[in-house]
Amino acid sequence: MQESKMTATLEMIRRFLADISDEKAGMWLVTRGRHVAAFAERDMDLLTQGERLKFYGLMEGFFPRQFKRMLAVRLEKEKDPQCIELLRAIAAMERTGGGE
Amino acid sequence: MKDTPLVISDPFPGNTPTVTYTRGLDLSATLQGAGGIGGLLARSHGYVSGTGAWSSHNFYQADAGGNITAMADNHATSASLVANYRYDPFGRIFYQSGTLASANVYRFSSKEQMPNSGLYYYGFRFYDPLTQRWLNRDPLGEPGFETMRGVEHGFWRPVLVPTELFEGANIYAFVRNNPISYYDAGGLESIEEIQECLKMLDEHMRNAPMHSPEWYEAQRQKSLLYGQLRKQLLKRAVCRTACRAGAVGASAGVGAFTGFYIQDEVNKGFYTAGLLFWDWWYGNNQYEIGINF
Repeated sequence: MQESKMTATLEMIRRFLADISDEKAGMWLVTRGRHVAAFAERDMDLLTQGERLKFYGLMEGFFPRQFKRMLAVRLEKEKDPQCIELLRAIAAMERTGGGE
Repeated sequence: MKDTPLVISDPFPGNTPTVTYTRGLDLSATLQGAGGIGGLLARSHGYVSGTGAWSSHNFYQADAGGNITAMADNHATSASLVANYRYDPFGRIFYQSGTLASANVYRFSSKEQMPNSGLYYYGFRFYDPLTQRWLNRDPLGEPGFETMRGVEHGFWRPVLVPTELFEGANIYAFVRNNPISYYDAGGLESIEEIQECLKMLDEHMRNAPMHSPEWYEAQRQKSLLYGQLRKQLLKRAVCRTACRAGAVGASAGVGAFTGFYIQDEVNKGFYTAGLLFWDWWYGNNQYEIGINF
């Protein structure tokens, strides 16, 4: 991913995670799902653990097309135990269509 | 006749239009982003057959909530009010006067009021200002409705809003019982309401242990709400795109631009709004332009 795209994506994700009422950041993200997916695959660790937790919580609803790919990649790359636990729970929901 | 979803002209009995409406930017500063609320500019009647002209024009005045409060005629030197309305906060008219007060049907929230029933038509639902409730529940989240609109999830998520989290809230309530602060664009939950629900859900999830049934349920709700927020944001982005492209086209000449289209992700591959799209409001070059039919 180009440096400028990565920086812009990081900034918009941070803005939106800090405040979901930030409409500009929200619009930016929903119209650029591919950038976000590329970011999630390569540069996700630039976000803090808290930010990643928030991001994983919204991933499915906000990026439905890229969700499965992002989930698979993050399950592979994520190192933080709390994040891994959340990703596993989301994966379980995704597999079963809801709940354990 | 409609410029979907907004009415721009009343039915044509015998192919003769009776009334036409001129609309401008609504409360969202776009043409339809707020469902046309506050966007009504003029009502014209008296169609002159053969010429395509209208003999009489009247101009709307609305308050900050987009409620039509008055209508003035077009006499250049001695304009007078031809309609005058007073509402309670929930839209019940308690006073009206003027020669066109009854004929004009666009009133509270700039929405059309049905003359016989007194109900307001918001596009997706009818609202009753006397009971201060919608007649039917919010269709967002209902399987049939979502199918009609094109659900993107591979599986169906059941309930919409965790009603138990919001004391007193229900899916028949009008703008969360706060019409002074909120408006409803079309009868569906607004972006602001979804955002508020999400914030409350986050709060709720902090106290629910992960892997508990409560947590799973909250996470399901969250995904659904983020999905709805995404759709609303996309819709708003498309509205802004069309609006901005129109403004530029008008100043520089339509046709001067290459035809680009923003992909409407809601409809999976259909391109609904077009002409021009780039990152007008962020000032960097992170844009996605697609030509893909």
